[in-house]
Amino acid sequence: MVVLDLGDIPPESARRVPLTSWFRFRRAVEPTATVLLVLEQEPCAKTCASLVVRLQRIAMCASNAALLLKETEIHGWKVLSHAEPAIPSANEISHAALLQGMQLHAEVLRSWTQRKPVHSVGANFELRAAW
Amino acid sequence: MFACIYIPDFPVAAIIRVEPLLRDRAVAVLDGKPPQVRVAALNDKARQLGMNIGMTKIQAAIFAIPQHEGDTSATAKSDRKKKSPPIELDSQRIKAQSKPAAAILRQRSTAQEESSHAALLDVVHAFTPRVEDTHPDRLLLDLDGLERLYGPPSAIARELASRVSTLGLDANIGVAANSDAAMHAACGFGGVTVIPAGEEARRLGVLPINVLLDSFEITGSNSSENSTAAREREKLSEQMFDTLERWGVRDFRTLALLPEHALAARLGEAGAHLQRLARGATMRTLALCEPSVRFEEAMDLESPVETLEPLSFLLNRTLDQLCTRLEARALAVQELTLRLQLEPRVGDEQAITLEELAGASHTALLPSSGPSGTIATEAQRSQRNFLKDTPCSKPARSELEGCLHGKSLSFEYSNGNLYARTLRLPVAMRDSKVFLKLLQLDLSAHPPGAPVCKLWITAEPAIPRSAQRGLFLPVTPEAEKLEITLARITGVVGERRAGIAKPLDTHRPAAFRMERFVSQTESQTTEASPTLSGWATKAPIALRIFRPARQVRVQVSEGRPCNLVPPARNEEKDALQGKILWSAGPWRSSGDWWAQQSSAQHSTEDAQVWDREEWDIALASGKNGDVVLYRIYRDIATGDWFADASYD
Repeated sequence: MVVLDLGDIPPESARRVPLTSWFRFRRAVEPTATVLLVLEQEPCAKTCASLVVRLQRIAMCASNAALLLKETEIHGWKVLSHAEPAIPSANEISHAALLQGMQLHAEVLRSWTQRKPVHSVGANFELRAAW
Repeated sequence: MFACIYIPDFPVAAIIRVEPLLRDRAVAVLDGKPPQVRVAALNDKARQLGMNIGMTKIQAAIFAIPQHEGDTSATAKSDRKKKSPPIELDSQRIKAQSKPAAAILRQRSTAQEESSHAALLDVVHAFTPRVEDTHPDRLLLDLDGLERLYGPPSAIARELASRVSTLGLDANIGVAANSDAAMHAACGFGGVTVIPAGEEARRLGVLPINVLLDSFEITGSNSSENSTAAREREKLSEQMFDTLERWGVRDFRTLALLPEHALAARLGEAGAHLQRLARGATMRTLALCEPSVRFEEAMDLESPVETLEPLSFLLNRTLDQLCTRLEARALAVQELTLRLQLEPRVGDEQAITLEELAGASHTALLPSSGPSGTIATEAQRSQRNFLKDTPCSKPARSELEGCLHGKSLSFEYSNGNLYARTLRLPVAMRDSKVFLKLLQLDLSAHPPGAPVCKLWITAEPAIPRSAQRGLFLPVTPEAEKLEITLARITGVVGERRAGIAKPLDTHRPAAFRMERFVSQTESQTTEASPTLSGWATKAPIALRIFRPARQVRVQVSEGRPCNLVPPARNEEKDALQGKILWSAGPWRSSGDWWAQQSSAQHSTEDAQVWDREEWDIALASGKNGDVVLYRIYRDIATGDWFADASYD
């Protein structure tokens, strides 16, 4: 797998990569068993991409989120308490809060192998912190 | 049976081996220090032009190519133009001009001769281990037991000739029942000569007597003999030649027919030995030599090379020769060292004080443990090479060695400077094109900075790798192609910026070292990665680290960050700012403060003092109201805040 990380690059700059370059990449990868994965803020490989997946963060998991729970809900942002917190939720010491992970939603925008589905195809999955 | 390989006009052959285009030209090799520069060797075409060994440089220059034809025999030509007075050698000049091709003059190169000799030894050692290193231009082989492998003696001789010709050398091969007869046959007859047992006297009879005296001079002298003994032997040989000349003895047969006792009475034991040699009746044991483990090719350049392109041609030739030698010994290269002798700048003679060298050696001779081990080994090697190959006199060398071992002496070295590059290959390989490409990429990234006068390429031999891989393993790129690709990437992104990031054994955040990329071996690929065993169901969260960390301004309320404020000046448009919705921390860490005192002795990579207070924050970005997770930290020493990474 070859990963090209353009996540830090603004979409205006990433769009400047000409379409021919993306086709060249595709041609180089096509006859091999290699996967070329491009991470970017917006899809810019256009029709060259065999599969376009949009990832969206939907929730954050923390060990103790009682303090700011209300405020974050206003912003459409959920802070979920961990199922079994190591520290009780009543503990309001600042470092009691601990980032545990994130929940993401992946949605297939386009796929060459499948016909365009009638409705959106997506799935949720969770990323966990290493600690 | 014994065989002898003889390279006629060896100094010329060594030069032609490096410059194959000279094969069809008349070449003369000059030797000696000015003003006593004379022709030391020449090939048959040069002899046909009328050149002789012992000619002065000015006399030889008459036969050389005119300046406007653009050949590289610059030394002789420029000297002829500048220094030599007009000499009346009209007859010789006319003779030279009437010939279709003129001679090319080259300075004698002992380095090239040594390389050619070593190459010859490599080829012969691949043939049989029983080899006598008789002289730089001739080798003796014991052929006993080789008939089963190569057939009759004539087939062996032909095989030998073809193997030597792969080196770019034209050899005469002599095969006979005794070693001396084989040597005389090789020296006296061109091509391949096989003398059946018992016919030595008859076949060798036609050879001129000077062939006998040459070999007598060579075989009689030992390597342990000093120069005085060698000179005495040479004198004795000359005296005998004069005596035999006066007697009218001009070939082997005449000498062989002389009465033995009378000859011994007049010429002594040496005379009797000469007669036995002429009859082909001597028998001696070969002094066998060990195969060399050092593979080095050198090339002296007539005029300094300034650009990379012509240097690449020279590198190509040298690498081809090196790979041929390695192929003969069925070896590959694990490490390749290129050393270039650079032209000293005019008016700016480079002076190396011994204090500097001693200081360098102090760092270089650190015990090779830990991450600095590679550096220490490399420095030691370069130091050894420097000492070994620095062209300076013996007393100066001893001074230099003394200084490198810590003595403080003052020594000025102005014979030019050396530039060395080392290629360490992940797998043993033997493709000269790959080496050339790697050296080109390396030199384009690190140009020598001065014209090149001489080059050496040394190969560290290794056992070739086996190409067999697992049947069901994924196909990986060829090691050679992968190495070139990596070298290209390194050329673009810079040294030590391509490879595999290996975490250091420290708690310092984002501490890693770039190591060279090596494709995984079979055993590694089949093993499950231990770090992922606990994450079979949940993927780990990823951090996108900012390098360097971005400085931010943070408002703190009740000991915790509550707001990222925009910078005072509107310098950074994309600076992080916004309200902190959620925060976790602080997580305090510090380290390497114990190494602060001795930081001068450590590399900066290993000891960087850190003392920080980390926070994980959820920041409401200004534009779309998106919430992004960041890791920020406060440097305790300075009190500044930095954004370290974002959670992807």
